[in-house]
Amino acid sequence: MLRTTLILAASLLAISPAATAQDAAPKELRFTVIPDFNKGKLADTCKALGEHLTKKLGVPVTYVPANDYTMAVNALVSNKVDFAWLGGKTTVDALDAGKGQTMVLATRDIDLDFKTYFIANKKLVDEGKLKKIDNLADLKAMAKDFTFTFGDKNSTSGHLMPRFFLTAAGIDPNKAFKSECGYQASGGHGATLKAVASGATDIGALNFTYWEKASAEDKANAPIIFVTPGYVDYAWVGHQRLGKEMNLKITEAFTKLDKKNAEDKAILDAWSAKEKFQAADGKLWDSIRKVRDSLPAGFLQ
Amino acid sequence: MTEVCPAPTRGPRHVGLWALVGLGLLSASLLSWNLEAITGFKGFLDAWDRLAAYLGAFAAPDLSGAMLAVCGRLAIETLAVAILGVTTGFLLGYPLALGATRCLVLGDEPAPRWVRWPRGVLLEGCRLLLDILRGVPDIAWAIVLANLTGVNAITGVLAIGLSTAGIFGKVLSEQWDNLDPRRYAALRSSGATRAQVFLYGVQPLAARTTLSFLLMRTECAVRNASVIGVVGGGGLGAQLWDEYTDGSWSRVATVLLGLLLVTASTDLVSNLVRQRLRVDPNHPRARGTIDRRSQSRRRLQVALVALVLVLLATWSLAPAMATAAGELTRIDWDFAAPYTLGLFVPDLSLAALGSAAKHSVVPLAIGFLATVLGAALAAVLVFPASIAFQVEPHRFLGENPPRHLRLLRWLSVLLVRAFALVCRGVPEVAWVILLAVFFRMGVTPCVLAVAIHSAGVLHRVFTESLDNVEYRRLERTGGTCRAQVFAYAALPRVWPDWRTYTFFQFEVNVRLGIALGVVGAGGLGHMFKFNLDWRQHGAAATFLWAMIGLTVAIDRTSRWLQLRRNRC
Repeated sequence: MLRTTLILAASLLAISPAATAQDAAPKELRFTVIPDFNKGKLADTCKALGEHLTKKLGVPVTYVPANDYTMAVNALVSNKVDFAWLGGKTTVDALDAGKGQTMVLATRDIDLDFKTYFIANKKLVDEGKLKKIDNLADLKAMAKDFTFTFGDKNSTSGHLMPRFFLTAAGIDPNKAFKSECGYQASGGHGATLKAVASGATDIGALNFTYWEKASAEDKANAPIIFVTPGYVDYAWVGHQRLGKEMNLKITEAFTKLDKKNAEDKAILDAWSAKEKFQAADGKLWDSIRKVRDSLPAGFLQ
Repeated sequence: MTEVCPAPTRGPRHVGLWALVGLGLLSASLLSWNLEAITGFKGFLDAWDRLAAYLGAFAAPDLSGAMLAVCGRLAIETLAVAILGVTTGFLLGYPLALGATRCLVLGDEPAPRWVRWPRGVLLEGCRLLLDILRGVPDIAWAIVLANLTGVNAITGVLAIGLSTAGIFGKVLSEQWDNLDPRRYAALRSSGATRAQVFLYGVQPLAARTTLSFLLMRTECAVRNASVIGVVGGGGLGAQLWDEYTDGSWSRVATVLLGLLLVTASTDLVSNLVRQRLRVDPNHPRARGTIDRRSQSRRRLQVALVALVLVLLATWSLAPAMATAAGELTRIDWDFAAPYTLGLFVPDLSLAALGSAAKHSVVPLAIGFLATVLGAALAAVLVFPASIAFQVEPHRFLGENPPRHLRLLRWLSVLLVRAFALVCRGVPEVAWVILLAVFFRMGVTPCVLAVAIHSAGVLHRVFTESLDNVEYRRLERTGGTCRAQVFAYAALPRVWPDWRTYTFFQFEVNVRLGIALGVVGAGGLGHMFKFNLDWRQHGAAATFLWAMIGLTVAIDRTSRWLQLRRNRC
């Protein structure tokens, strides 16, 4: 009896999708991205990428939206998507939650030296209340006069790193500002920029590429007051379920994108890469893991 | 020397009033208000600048074909999510309500211990399950479920369905248990079993309130469905938040108008249904005597329309159902366990528990202040909106006002009702967005948003209960003017109802306070999402259970205060 059950169970396991995925080529590939910007615009960009990858990989590649960063990580580790565009912190989260089966497929050239911009509302800068600083510690004395917002709670450039640099400069973002630091519940870095530009918040921290790509009006209304040192950020993260061969093909599809080719250039620009995507070792993100684990847990309690 | 009748002692009411004021001040002091928009001149000017920029765009909503098409599609999706959500909630909540009803499960006939004991377990088990379903706000359900069913309308249906099931189950079982046992004593004395007593006694006696509550929940579901998209549940909500964070005010205005259209028309349609189903011959505006045949014909009509609506909703969400099913079958549960099953295992360390207690204060305080403010505003607006006191006072006062005065009173009824309709028609999250333009995001816009919304919701039930008072009760007072009759005859009669509604709204508002935490009010909802995002599943579970704990605590308090909600 027991034996029959075991055999039955084994044969069931053998035909489970996870096991077959490695043998036969997948019929369809799905990817997701963290919603670090306006979701509607993100969907358009991702659709274009999906079409390009479909041509390059020979299987239909579709974009599956994620409502927040956590959902993108969970979708990757639980097999709902095959690869995902994640931020620095979420890359580390996915590597940890993937029990050794998730790995970095590709990253942009800019991600190895990524930066956060601290921006302030134009009025405050014009009035001389805030000015460009070289050291975050200069903000400490006057922090009490201003409100401050991070981006998404899960963002590396919008929360993890600015929190780390603020903490290192002796500023507790939960207590040092006029009111407790804010977060953008949705809309990512675009929301931070709008909040600061409109004056809804005095100071904000965001991904430098989004500021650079923003409209001239928004940039003028939310000038930069501080630029952080560089760190490692975004990456395409994949899962072993897809098999070595397919994952290699995906990496190649990204690294072969070339600025000289018009279609490729459109994708590279939409993704804010300076020149190209490149293969990278997951070990590079160890520094982000260290930062994540070094933060005092106070803000989570 | 005439002996003046001593004034009735007002002691207890004063105690209640002072308790209310004290709790209000305590709540206000516990929140971190952001009031710079109204405390300083410069702050006010800045806030006014922001508001002016917004109002300019709001006056010119984006009415391009593409935008209207998007909003139209999402509006239909919102309605479909609401209809299927309520249907799911009813189908799931009804059996649980049966299990949670004392008179059905336990009865009071003597039975051996080995029979009573498992029945008691069933009763308490069902009640606990209902508490869990109800205690977790639909937004929190959606956050958890979206990881399984994906970003689509089905996540919204399930989230609304689960929380509606909890509310249904609780209220239905209470309605059944609160019936006076004497009303079905005849059945019991003739030897009917508990099931027969329920089928032929309890259920029919409560049917009218059940139906009324079903209608009310449908309206609520439409409002909830219009914001559940913020966390991935489909409908207009996602678009609203997307345009808001993008600063596209003219398109925010379009989406808001769409939202208002959907909620307001639901409100009006549900009024119509109520009228068609009204069978109370004692009602001031009853349609003469109601015979059995016309009654069952009307019921059949309404049931048919409901069925058609459910079928249409199912049909329009069929693609989303296929998507959600596809998402579910792909899941590798080994990896999904931490953020699904993990949420049942709270972190019980002192730090986590202390943190949960600390952050429970925010939704409680928001709920309390918003309820008091909302109820006060609603109460003030009841008199000018009452049909009885503005349109038909001649039926109990015998006054005969001139035509222009009658017109004025009609106008007052319509205007105030329209105002209340807008207050409740714009969902809380949308109020937050509007108010955050002026006050900046924080506690202040959240408290005011919930207060405005509750004022709209309470105004409706307050006015309805006032207008349901039989006119012969008002005649007897022989008052000289409308205000006196209102204050001394009508108010004491509806007061217990109002208090019950207000307390129920408090429970709802605390959950709203939790849900708004996700978008910027702080507190339990914020911390739950934060810990979920930082993959601290144990701590997230602690906050989740704290939400349930809060609901249970409020519920038990209301039972202790013997606030009953027999009518809705």
